[in-house]
Amino acid sequence: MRCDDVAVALSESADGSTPLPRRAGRHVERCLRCQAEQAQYRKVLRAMRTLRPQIVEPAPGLLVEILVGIEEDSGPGAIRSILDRHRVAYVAAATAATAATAAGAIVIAARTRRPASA
Amino acid sequence: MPDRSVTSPDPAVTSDPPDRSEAGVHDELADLVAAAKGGDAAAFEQLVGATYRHTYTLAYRLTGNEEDARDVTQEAYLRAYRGLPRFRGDSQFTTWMYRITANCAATYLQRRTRHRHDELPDAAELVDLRTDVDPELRADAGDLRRRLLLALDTLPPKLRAVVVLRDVYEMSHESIAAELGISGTAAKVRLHRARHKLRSELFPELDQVDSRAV
Repeated sequence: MRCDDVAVALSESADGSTPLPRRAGRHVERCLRCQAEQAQYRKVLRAMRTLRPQIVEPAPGLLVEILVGIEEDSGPGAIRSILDRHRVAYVAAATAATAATAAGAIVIAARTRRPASA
Repeated sequence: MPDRSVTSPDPAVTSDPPDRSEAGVHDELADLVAAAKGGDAAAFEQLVGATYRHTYTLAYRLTGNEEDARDVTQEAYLRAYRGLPRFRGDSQFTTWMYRITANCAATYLQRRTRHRHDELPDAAELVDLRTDVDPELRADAGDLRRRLLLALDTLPPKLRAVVVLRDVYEMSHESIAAELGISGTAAKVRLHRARHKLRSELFPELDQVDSRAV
């Protein structure tokens, strides 16, 4: 038996769901190359499993987009109250940001005017 | 403040809080599913709110880019909303969402592949992310996980889908085949090819050694 003959079995057995066939197992026991390959498959699998608890954070706004999509598809009223709540929060945040910007502009304008009048 | 990884090629990666009991989370979701099936719109919103980041993560891993992942996530929840009355609760809600997402992503990628021939500009800059080709990337790729993410990006979408669903999300061969619309044999063949490519990409030295009869 050659290393190529056990290549598929090595990959299939990496996650433990499919045991190595007996002949392939006997080959691997005596073949350092296949043992190294088996160890590498296990390392790759362990690294893959570490991705499971990782969250790729979406850009803001996805939740509202999902709910709007459902509402548009299912007709008004499906989740209207929910969207209204989100929209209120969004508008409140936008208003607060605008007010803060305006207040900042007034403060800067007042500071720049003072030296001129002095 | 979440602990964001600065070394990951992903846009912004955080980890699930380790202190939350998985069983507790699934019980909460099961209660929400029951309420949503009874017509409680707020419960469905909470379900979406509790799971959409995980769903988006799978969509991102399958499609490889943010814009497609957003479209796939939206489509997946639309299908979930329509299909919720038929959800019997045999599996967990998140598992059900993963299956829907895998199916949506497969459909989306097939559609995109059909259009891509027309859309790819002649002068498109093609970046080779294989670490053995680009020495700079190889030097930067400091750890196995980072190199793995880069290697996953180089896989054809059909292979990437199977290996992500099996080796990250531990879906059964049967579920993977069903959601991707392929035979169980095709799913296993793709899984072997994907694992082989990933291993060769991450550990190229071994493939340079000739096979020897023993």
